[in-house]
Amino acid sequence: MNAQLAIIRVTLRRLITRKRMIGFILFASIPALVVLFASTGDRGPERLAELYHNTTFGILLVVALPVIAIVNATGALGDERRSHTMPFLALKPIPRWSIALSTMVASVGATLSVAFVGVGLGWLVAGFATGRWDIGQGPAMAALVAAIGYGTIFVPIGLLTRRATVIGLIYLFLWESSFANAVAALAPTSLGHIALSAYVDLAPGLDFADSLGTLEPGAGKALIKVLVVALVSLAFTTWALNKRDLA
Amino acid sequence: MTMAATASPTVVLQGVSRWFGQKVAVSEISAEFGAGVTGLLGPNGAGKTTLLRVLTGLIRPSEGTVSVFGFDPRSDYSVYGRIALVPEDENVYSFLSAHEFVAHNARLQKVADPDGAARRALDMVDLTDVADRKLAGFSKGMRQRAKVAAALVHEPDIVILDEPLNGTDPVQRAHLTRIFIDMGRQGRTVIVSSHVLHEVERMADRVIAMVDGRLAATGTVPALRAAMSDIPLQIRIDCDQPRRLAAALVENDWVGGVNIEEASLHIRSLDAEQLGRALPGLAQSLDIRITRVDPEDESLESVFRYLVEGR
Repeated sequence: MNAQLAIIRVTLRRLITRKRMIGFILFASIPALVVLFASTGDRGPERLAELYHNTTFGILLVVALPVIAIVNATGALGDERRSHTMPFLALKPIPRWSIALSTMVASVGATLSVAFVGVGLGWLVAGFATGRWDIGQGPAMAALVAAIGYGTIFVPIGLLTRRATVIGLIYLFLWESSFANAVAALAPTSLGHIALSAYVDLAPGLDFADSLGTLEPGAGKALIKVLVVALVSLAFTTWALNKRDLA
Repeated sequence: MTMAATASPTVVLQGVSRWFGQKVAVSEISAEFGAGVTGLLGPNGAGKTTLLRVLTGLIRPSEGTVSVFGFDPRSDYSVYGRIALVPEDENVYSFLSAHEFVAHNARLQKVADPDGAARRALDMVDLTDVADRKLAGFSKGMRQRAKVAAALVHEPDIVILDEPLNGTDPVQRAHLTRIFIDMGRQGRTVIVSSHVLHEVERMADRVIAMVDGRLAATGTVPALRAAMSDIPLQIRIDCDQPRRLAAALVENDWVGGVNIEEASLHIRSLDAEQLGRALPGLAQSLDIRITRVDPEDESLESVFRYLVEGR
């Protein structure tokens, strides 16, 4: 195993603790549980599909995944600094960009592991309930886009400040949920809206497609946008590891 | 600015200062470190940890330069393949076993056989029996030894140890001290910080003393001892006839002053050894019963403050 894989493995083990995973998975599984409960009633496939999309978007993609991603991303390097274990990572003959990239991969991986369970369960339940097995494509793509976006942009912020999680939550609830929703022109600055553009592209005709603002539906474009965000975050994290105090 | 020089230095600090806002943690320190064990001595809060963090590149100096094998560790990360730091904080990756932790460090150091190197390093610090136990269940002393094993796993040329004996029991302390001495004898640069003089005395060939972020004294341990022998000592003596003993003591020129406080004498002496030799005879001839003799104000901080302010 090389140094990069070793960093990814240890960071994942730090981020994916048993208690945290149980909490996160329960949180991310709410849409699946709601659809499962609703499917025992007399709702038809169309209404169940609508319920699935509304809860997956409204709970999983707007709240659960961003919060989980922010917690993971701010902890990826931030926890090393806060728990004074940074010397075990930073005082090694490894390029700084490589440390930054490895921790970002771990951050995104930790979030995707929760998303995989949440989206996968929902997909499975909704697939059985509606008989439409393509129903989970949009949520899966949106979850990937969100995990990459939130999971990388908050890594350097976690390294630079102790209040990174609070900053992340303020960004999420103030900027994304309020300003970017209210002002259509601000939608492209919101990672949540970029993820939504991927969702709507693969699951057209949804009510919440109106929330896109000035963004056009497009899964490929959304993926490219968050990869650019990830590259900028990588450069910023590398700079911070090189230039800022690490203890 | 004081310069602490050594032959063939591997680590060179030139005019290094570091301040945090208004607080100056390290002030204009120039020093060189070479093969052998160097003790970085000073009371708590003297700036030792900050200096070691600057030295390793964990934090930037506000002023001055750091050179490790001729390179600045903050701009050339390849020097970390030849350095190891045992940090003062007891935090480790508590979710890993001791073996996993040491092997992880070996992998990051690109050691060819990380698991074999980890086993050897753990054996060196006597942790083989508990190698598969999680670090979360380790005592402070065991964690300390695991950190030492992780630091030594790639056989570094420079080993920097920040209060490495904290939390260890006397047996472990003797064992670790022996390891550090051996590394120094092998020609490695070993820098050990401590606030305990006798700890450093046991292992260091050379001592750099810090007080209030400044370099207070430097030299061999005997030279530092000699410098400290001039310090007037405050000694407390409890006896049944304090006034009579005080009268007898003040006649000697090695007694600088005497205060009487109920059944106690507080003596300021320039020659504690002379006092120690004379006291039993005086007590016997005057038929005085002495119940207690204790040095007062003998903390390392006061000794260093004397070294800084008294010259």
